[in-house]
Amino acid sequence: MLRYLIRRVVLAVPVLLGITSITFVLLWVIPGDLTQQFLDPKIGTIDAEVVEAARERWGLNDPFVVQYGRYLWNVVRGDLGVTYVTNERVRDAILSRLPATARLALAAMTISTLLGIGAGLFTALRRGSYLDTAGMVVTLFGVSIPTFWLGLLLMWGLGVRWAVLPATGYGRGELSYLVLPAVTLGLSYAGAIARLTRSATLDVLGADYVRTARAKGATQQVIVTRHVLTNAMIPVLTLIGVNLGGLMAGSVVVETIFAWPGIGQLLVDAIQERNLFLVQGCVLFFAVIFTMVNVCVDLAYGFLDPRIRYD
Amino acid sequence: MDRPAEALIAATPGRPASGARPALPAVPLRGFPWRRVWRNRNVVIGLCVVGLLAVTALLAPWLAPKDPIRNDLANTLRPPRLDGYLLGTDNLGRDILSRVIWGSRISLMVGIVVQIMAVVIGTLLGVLAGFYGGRVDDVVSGLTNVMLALPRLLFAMAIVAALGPTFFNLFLALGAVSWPSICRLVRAQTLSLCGKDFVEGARAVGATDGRIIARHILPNALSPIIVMGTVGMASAILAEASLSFLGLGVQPPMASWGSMMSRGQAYIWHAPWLMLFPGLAIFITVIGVNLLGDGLRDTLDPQVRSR
Repeated sequence: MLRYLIRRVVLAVPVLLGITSITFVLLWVIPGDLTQQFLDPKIGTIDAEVVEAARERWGLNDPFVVQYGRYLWNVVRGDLGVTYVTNERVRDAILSRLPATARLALAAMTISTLLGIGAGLFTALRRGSYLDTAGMVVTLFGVSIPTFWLGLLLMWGLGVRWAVLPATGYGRGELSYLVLPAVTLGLSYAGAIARLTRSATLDVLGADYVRTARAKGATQQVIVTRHVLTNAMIPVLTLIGVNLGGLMAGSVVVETIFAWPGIGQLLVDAIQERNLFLVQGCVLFFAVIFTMVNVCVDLAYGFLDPRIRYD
Repeated sequence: MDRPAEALIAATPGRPASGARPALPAVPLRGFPWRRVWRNRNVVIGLCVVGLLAVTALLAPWLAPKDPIRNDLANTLRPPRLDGYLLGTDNLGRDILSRVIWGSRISLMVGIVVQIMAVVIGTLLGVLAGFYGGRVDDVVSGLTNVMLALPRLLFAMAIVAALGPTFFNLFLALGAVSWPSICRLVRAQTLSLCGKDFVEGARAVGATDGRIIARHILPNALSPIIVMGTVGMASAILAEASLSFLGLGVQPPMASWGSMMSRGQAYIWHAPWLMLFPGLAIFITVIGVNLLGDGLRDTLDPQVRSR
């Protein structure tokens, strides 16, 4: 078990290295002179001496490999540079926004997981009924609806028309402000989870061991909890892990709509200000979290399915 | 569909998907199960929606009642009415119906161009990695793993942010993030096909690598590629809409459903129709593409069958 854990974590290292090189190269492909972007993204400067001094100061005259090595070392130390709009540390800017994003992501994940697995199981166990067909149509809508449209519809309906919930903002952290963004983000992923849960459950229900269990007189409840849930959850768990990437991207959209002060909104603002270190830092942060969650998902397989050997 | 029937279909010889298959030289599309595809209800509904979109996009100049980018400040924020502006006007007095009609061009173009890029790049790299293995495979798989470890939309945002929000960069960014999943699929297909008898047979009679790939591997890997390409079209359309919504995609005054909605958000209090209709257009389009993808998967892919 420990060996597998170590091996899986070690395997993530080249992926993380690849991610850092991509975020590093992002700054290199920017058209025009990078120094001008750093000096002042709006006006730049034409003074050759100032430009040269800046290039020297930020080490932009060093070879590519040296610069990449330095970037990597800084990232490892947790130094993601400085936002040149407010001169704040990128790391601090991200960390100060983290609680809001984490709240939203956790709430949305809970909603999508409970709703998705519940709906998937419910429809699979009533395969072929009207409820099943209705469920399939609703989940098709769920995977097809654009997150931002769903958000705007909910905002218009519940926040503006009937005004039962605050339409935008974070308030002082009250739960009522969380409802609309979390439901928007959660619903947009529940559809995919429900569809996969349904097809995975149908696979398991047709398996020999379920027939055996039935022949031995197991009740429906035992079959569902003991056999179906544990076995059908493996692909579903993978999807939830993969979905987290979408959830983060979705949080960018949802945070923008609902003026939710999280990392997603920070990223959109940073892109609009061409605050490049901050963009780089946010993307790197999201990618690292995404990779780590997927490592955890891999590790969780073993608990759900002892047949998966850790070697 | 019944399970025994599915098993029967899967066992029928001449299926282009992976699985047992006699070692005959495969000819692209001859064994393609057109009949079964056409009989699938989801495929038909999906094709109707996508076809409607295509017709709208092609005939936009004749279908649109008004100029989609001409301001008409005497008629701003008019609500939808049967006589007059059918879907209302926006804050600059532009006819929303005309803008929705013109916007279909962008969504359709994004869906098609991005998926063609993704399928071409992904198939090429996937076949090379699966067929040659070794160093080539290490490099391609490594790259694929890293790309898949980045959330797609975020990565596309970062590319657009770095290169600047132009129409060309939008396609570049979406294409760059869409190929890895197809590459991984094609690589796995190629690996499993390489072990089949008919590939061995072709090699034994002296077929070149290029001939084996073109005549034996690609035709047999075609079905899952088509399915994945179609499903990917839906996410490409949604991704473009999201980027345009955030102001990183199609720039004004060009009409894109995503950018229309971002404008609509500002007027959600007084003129909700600004965000209502472009969103509905995206929704219907994506449902159509998803139905088409589901239907194709049901009929073409015996392994990843959705029930």
